[in-house]
This record gives sequence, structure tokens and C-alpha cells, in this order.
Amino acid sequence: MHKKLELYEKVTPLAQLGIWQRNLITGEIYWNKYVREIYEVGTDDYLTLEEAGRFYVDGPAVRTLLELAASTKEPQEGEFKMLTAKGTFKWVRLRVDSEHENGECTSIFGTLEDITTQVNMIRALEEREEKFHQAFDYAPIGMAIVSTEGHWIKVNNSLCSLLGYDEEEFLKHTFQDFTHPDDLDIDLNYMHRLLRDEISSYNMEKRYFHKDGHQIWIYLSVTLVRDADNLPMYFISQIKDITERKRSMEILLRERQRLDNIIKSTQVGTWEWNILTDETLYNKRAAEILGYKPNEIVANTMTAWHDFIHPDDREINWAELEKCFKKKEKFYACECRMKHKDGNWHWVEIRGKVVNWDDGDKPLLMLGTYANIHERKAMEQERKKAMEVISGQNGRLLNFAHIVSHNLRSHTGNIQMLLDMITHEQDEEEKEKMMQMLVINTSNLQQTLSHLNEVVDVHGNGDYNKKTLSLQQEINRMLDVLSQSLRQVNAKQTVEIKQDLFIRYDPAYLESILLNLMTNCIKYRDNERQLHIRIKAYDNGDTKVLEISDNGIGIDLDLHGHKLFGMYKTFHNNTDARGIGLFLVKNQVDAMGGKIEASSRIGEGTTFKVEFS
Amino acid sequence: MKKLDIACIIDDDKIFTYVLTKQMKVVDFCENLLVFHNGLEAVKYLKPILESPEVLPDVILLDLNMPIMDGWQFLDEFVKFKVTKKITVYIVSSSIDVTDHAKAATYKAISNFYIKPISRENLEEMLAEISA
Repeated sequence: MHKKLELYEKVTPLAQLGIWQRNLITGEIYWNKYVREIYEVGTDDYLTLEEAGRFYVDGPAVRTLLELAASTKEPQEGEFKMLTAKGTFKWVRLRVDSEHENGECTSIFGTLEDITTQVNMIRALEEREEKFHQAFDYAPIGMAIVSTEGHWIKVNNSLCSLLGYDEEEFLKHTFQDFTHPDDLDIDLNYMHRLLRDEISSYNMEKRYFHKDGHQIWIYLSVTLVRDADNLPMYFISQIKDITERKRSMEILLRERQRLDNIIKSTQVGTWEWNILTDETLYNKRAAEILGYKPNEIVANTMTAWHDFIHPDDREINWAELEKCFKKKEKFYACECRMKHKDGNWHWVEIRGKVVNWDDGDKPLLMLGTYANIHERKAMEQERKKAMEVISGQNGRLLNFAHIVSHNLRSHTGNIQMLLDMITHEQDEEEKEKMMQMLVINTSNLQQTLSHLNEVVDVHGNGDYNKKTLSLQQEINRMLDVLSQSLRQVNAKQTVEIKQDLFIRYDPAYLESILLNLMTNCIKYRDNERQLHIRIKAYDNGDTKVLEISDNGIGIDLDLHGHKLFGMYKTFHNNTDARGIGLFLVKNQVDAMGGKIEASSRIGEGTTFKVEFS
Repeated sequence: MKKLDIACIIDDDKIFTYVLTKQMKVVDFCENLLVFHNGLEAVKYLKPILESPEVLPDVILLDLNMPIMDGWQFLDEFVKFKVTKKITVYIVSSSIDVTDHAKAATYKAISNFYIKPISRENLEEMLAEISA
């Protein structure tokens, strides 16, 4: 017994267990030191039941417990809140049992334990639990506790309203049931990695199906809760509705894609120019237009881009930019040549618009495009050339029509007037004279018609009989033909051809050209000096040139230059002059695609220069 | 209608000038007639007598297409003349080219543009206009 007591004395301090006993017969009280410490009373104080009862916040409850133990003869236990002698609130656990003799309770005894720490802890836990539930249930985002198999264990209000199911319906399903099939594998894969402890949490964007069938995009954050042995217990999932964001993103992406497609399909290069810093951004196509890969070209400033512009086009480019900067034009647009990587000049259309101005109306930012217009430009130039040819032909045709009209009218007018006079003339002699004139006039008309025929031949159907001809041979042949006339006027001829030239030409035209120009030299010679005809032919690279010069009387080109090659234009009091030779020569040279021009000085001579195309 | 004192034809077409001369006689167009076969001949004749209105023509019938100096070139010289008398100038040409007609309209000195052939009625019309 003694030993047992000793052990008891040793153990109680470990548990800090208060031990007490009241002998209800003698009123004797036993309190160990821990009881006193709990009550925070003096070492020698013993309190009556009544006194002790006052320390308890709920005294009657304590008394009831004690009475219950006494009446039932069963040990009882209760937790009570007390205010100690020093005014400290404490939670205590009171255990009580009773001893009986002859059916009467003789003593009660028990233990008293300070459990304030545990109670506070539990209270705190409960509070936390409550707070968690509050947070969980009323969180603005969806939250769920999900089993390791995927069963919904607990879901909050937000999640319910997000997917349209109530909690009961949720708990009958797994999250797999609601997940879009295309997103399920990724989710499950993450989940398994989480279970294998490879990751501590995961986030992903995925789609759920709403109860009514439509898709909902959500952002999912999942963590795994493990027990003390690190075994998986359940998942906590946070689920945020991102449908709206996703939709705007998709619209944005679609817009962007559409813009990209437009830019790609229009083949324009784009640029963005910070006018203050000169910094310039450009797309891939902008570089490609000049034949470069995006990283090959050094063009991070607009100055660098402008350096690609042909020197002759820079001024106009700046002028166009200025117009835009000074708000004279809304858009900046300029067609100019730019240096391609291959070394050639390529036609590029630059367009732009100032999109940012500072308060002082200074341009800050300009956006624009480069478009390759090389082919269009080439076609334009070709068209322009064709137009020139056509309008030239048109002009000649109209001119020809006027010539025909004029020349026929001159003769028919005369005939009409003559006939009118003849019918009114009484004098036979006069009549006869006018008849003579009528005959002359008719033959003039005939001659005019034959001239016009010659001209029509030149303007024919364009189906020329071109042959390769030696200029040297043709010149010599013509000098031969004219040798009689040349001898008659005692003419001197010089032919300067260093190297024989060959041209593709209609032989009849070349003959006509040579004959007319040489004959003119003879016709318009100066009788004061010996005629000297100089014939030169040379190749100047692009074209082959023939020059026929004389030392004749010359033509006043200031006076007659504009009609030198006109039909029936004569410039001298020369009876031989028909006014048809040079007109034909000009038409023949034109028809072959070449050029003819004349230079002359009165009293010194004339030079005709023919360029064969 | 009053007969003109002096008329002048400048035209290289000899048949035309012959017939026109005859027509003028028929309508009693003028007392005296000057005929030149190109502009230069006319200028050479007129220039020295500018100061003598009594020998200057009242009217000039001017052709356009002529050698050496054509009608336009003659006009360019003519407008520089300081004439002491009103000289009416008519273009008498075979040209129906609108550019010629438009060009003629730019010369104040030109009163009208006649297209060949010329009828007696044309001559009477000129006469009426000049003496009006």
C-alpha cells in the first residue's frame, strides 16, 4: 500500500493531475498541490464545497454532477469553466466518484485537470473549421473536395451555380463526368502525377459541360491533401470561370488571325515608325519586298529605310511625308524605286498615316505599308509606250485625213469654180483657156491621188517585208543610180563608213529614204560652189545612225522646222519642189520604228540624221 | 455695194487665183487687184508702202498652205505692221482641220475663215461686210 502510494505520488506531477477527496461524514478534505494550483489558492487553504462551487462559472452544474455521482454510484465527468482565485479563466475536467456505507454516501473523490490549452485549441480548430466552411461555401469561385477517384465529396455554391447542378446531383458524379473529353486526359495525367507525389499542385485551363449542355471554360487549381502518413486523402479543387475571358481571347485571336491573313494575302509589308526616335518596326514581308530575310536587313530606323529609295525619288518622298506631317494630306502615299537586294531598282508604293500627334500637332507615330508595284509599274510603262505608239498613229491618221481632205478639196474646188465660170463665160477664147486649166487641174488631181496612194502604202497594214541589208551596199547602189545627175552638177561625194553596218529594213523604204535625201542634196545645192555630199554611217551602241550632209542653200529651221516633214510643204522657190519627199521619208522612218531629224544653216548646208531602230 | 479700191490675194494655187480673179470681175469686187504666190512676196511688197494708205489693200484673201512663207507666218509678220489703214483679212483655205480654225480664232486681224471653193455669193458677202 505504501509503495503504491509512492508511485502515485511520483506519477501525479507528470500529469499535473489534481486529486481531491471530501469525507461527507467528517467534513475532512484532501487536496493535493495541483488542485490548489488550479484554483490558485494558498498552500494551506481548503475550501468548502460551497466555496469551491463559487469558482465555477456554472456552479449549479458542478453540484449536479457531484450529486449525480453520489446518487448513481457511478463515476461522472464534466468540463467546466472556472474563474480562479487570482481571476484567471480556466477550463477544467472534473472527474468524480463516491464511496458508500450502508446505503449512504460517505465520501466523494476525484480528479481535477486543467484542460484550458486543449479546449482553446479545439475551440480554435472549430472556429477555423467554421471559417473554412464559410469560405468554402460562399467563396466567389467554385471550390470542391474531390476523392482520389474523382468523386465530388463537397462542392460549394459557386460551383453549383457555375455548372447548374445542385449539391446532391454533384455528389452522385465524378468530375470526369462533367469534363470535356478533349481535356480529360491532361487532367487525369496531372492528377496521377499529383497522387504519385511528383508534383505538389497543378493548374490548367479546361472545359466543363453545364447541366444544360453548353461548354464552360474554367481555370482549375488542384492540391492534394495527405494524411499524417503522407497517404492521399482528397483533392481540393478551385475552379474559376474564364469563359468570358476565353471568348474575348478567341475573338481577339480570330481578329488577329484575320488581320494577319489580310496582310499576308495582300502581300504588303507593314511598318511602324516612332517619328521622335526614328525607331522603326517592320514585318517579314517588308524585308522580303526588297529581297531580304527579316534578320538580314538593317532597317531599324526609317532613315535606314529611306536610304533604300532611289536618289531621284527621295525628294518627292519627303515632299509627300511633309504634306502628311503638316496635315495637308490625311495619308502619305508615294511611289518610288527602292534598291532590291539583287541590285535592281524595284517600284514600291509606300503608304502611311500618322496615328499619334502630340498636343502641339507634332507627329509622333506613323503606321504604314510597302507594296510591290513593280509589275504594275512595268505594265503601266508598257501601256504608256503602247499609248504613245497608238496616239502617234492616230495623230498621223488624222493628219493624213486632213491632208487628203485639203488636197482633194483644193482641186475639186478649182474644178467647181472653173466649171461655174465656163458656163457663164461668153468669150470663146477665155472658155478655151479655162478648159485648158481644167485639164491641168485634173492631171494635178491625178498626181495628188497617186501621192496619197504612196502614203497609204507606207501606213499599210504594218506587214513589212524586212530584210537584212548592208548600208554600205545600199548607199553605193543609190550613188550609182544618181551618178548621171551627180556628174551633171559636178558633185563631190564622200562616204565614211568605218565598218559596214547591217540593218533589218524594208528594202523599198531604205531605197526611198536614201534616194529622197540624196536628191534633195542635188536639188537644193548652192550654185555658187561645188556640191559636196557627205554620207556617214556609224553604230552608237543603241542604234545605227546614217547622216547625209550637203553644203547647199540650207533651210531656215526656225521658220520651217515644225513643218519640215509635212506634206506639200515646200520652202524654196524651186520648181522641182513637190513637198512630198520628206513627208514620205518621215513616214517610212516612223513606220520602221526609227527617228529622223535635220539641222541646217542658211547658206552653209543641211544634215539629215536617220536613226535605225 | 461699194466697189473696193484695192484687193489682195495671197495664194500659191495659180488656177485658183486665176478663177478668183475672174469671179471678182464678175461681181465687180475691186478697182485694183494684187496677187502674190506666197507670204514672203506679199510682205516684201507691203512693207515699204505701210506709210502710204492710198496704195495699201482694203482686203487680203489669204491662203494658209504655201511654200516659203505660209499664211500663218505671213500673219505673224502682218500683225507687226504699223498699218495706217484698216485692212480686212480673210482666210481662204481648203483646210477643214479644226486646229486651223481654232488657231485662226486667236488672230484678231482675221475677220472670217472661208473654205474653198469660193462662190460669187462669198465675194458679195465680203464686200457687204467691208463697206458696212
